[in-house]
Amino acid sequence: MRMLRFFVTRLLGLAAALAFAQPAWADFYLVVHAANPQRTMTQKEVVELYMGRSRAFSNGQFAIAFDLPRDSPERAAFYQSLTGLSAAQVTSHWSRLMFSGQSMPPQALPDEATMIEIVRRNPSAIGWLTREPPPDKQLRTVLVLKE
Amino acid sequence: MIRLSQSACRAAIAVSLCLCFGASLAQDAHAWPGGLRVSGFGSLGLARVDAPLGWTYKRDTAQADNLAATRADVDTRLGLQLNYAPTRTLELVAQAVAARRGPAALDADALEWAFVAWRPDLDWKLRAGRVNFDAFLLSDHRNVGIAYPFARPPVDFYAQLPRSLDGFDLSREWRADGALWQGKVFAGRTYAFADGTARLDLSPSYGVTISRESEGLLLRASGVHTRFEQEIDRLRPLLDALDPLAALPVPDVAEQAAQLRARLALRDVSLTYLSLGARLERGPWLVSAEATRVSGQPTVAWRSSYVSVGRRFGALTAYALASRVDALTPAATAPDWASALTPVLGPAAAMQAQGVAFAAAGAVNAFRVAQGTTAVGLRYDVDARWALKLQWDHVRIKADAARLWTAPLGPVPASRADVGSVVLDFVF
Repeated sequence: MRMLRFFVTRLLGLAAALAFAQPAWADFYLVVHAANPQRTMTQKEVVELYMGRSRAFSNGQFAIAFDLPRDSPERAAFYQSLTGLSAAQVTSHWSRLMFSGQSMPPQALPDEATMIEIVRRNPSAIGWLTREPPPDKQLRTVLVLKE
Repeated sequence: MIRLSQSACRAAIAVSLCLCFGASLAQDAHAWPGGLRVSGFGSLGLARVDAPLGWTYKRDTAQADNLAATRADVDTRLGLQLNYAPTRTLELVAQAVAARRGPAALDADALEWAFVAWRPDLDWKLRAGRVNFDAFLLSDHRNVGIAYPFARPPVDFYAQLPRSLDGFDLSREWRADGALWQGKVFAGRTYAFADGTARLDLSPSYGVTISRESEGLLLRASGVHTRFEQEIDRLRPLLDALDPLAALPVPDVAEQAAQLRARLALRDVSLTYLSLGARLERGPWLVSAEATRVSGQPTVAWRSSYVSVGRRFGALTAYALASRVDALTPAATAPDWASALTPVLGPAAAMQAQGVAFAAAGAVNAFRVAQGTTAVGLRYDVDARWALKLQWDHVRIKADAARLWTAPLGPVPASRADVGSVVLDFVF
């Protein structure tokens, strides 16, 4: 009985550790300025913007994508969820485009608060958040990306 | 003393002026984050070369000779790039790469790109200045090790190709069949290296590239036409020596001398590059293949190709690579002029002519390239910015076709070589 309790305790501890090892974010929220006529976006459209294959929303309006810093774990999880690629693969992809002078990767912002501020001010902007944005007349969520 | 080519100076001045001009623009600054972005890349490499005595392994013909068995100069390089976008339609880009180059390289060759890009709309893009020679899959990022799985671009394919283009390119993107298409035309002047001591200008150079990308598959076809502007300096005495022999009233000797001269003379020889490439990145698999045919008869002609297959296992990528290059010009043999010319010129002059025949045939063969490489390697992505690579290459070099290794004075037998490489690539 003592042995069983020992194993159960250890298993519960392991399960708890694994649960806490999961990142705090579960979904990603793609947000644009409320004035942007884009009501919703597909995952493919977002991939095109964040991987440098498109510079416009599907309605033809010019788009400026914003990102979090390259080394942030949130960014790695975002790209894994969005494209299925690891952070290293994304770096490799963007290195091809950036260092051949073709295009630049989304501009990295220091944190999500800045992301919200930038998107609120810029009708061409698109950004992403790890938490559902607070109710805001200046922001619209166009896609919820399940992790 | 810093030596800058005129075109590089023009490109640098243009970019500087535009940087100043661009800084004053703020027409849509409220909507455009723009600004100056500084980024860079580099590689720290160590290669162990087991090759015939006196041979030098080079990743491209611009590199200097180095007879050491263990070398850091094959892959080590550092690049810095500045992007400045004062508006969303205008961008200025400059990239410099520090690497060990051969004695023929100009200081300005360190400037990979320096151009102004203008996007009048979402589809069109015009770039002017020093732009990339965008005709091959890796040609525009061959210095950026982290962008490809290998330790270096396949040497058999990329070692001899031209580098940046001083001129302009105009591209247009469009979507059709669910794929992203891009067409590009370009024109200007470029340069290539016969070896580390011979830099050759190619002008005018113009070409077209069309590519299609969909579902991780990139297909590209290109055609480029250009022309050599000058001879290789160290071959001039030989060309001068062949001229009077080609004018002799001995038809066989005159014809052979003319043929040898034609195979050594580069000035005004036209070159055409036709190339097809494909790269597939789907799931854990990475496959790429490319083939090109270069026609510049009778002096320069070759075909080259490679295929690589890689598979990712998490952060680890295992890959194999096979490549080859074949000269399309036959090896030259020295004709027997001593016998034919002794009755006409006397034995002393005939022996001198024979010496010219040997030298000319040797020079023709010294500029031939025919070899094949089999390589296997591992890439480990340490994190998003660092990648460590191990690669082993086995190279089989055909007789009288070892230009990528040596500049011989006489016949060169078929040989083999092995190269082991450790490379650490990074971006910042």
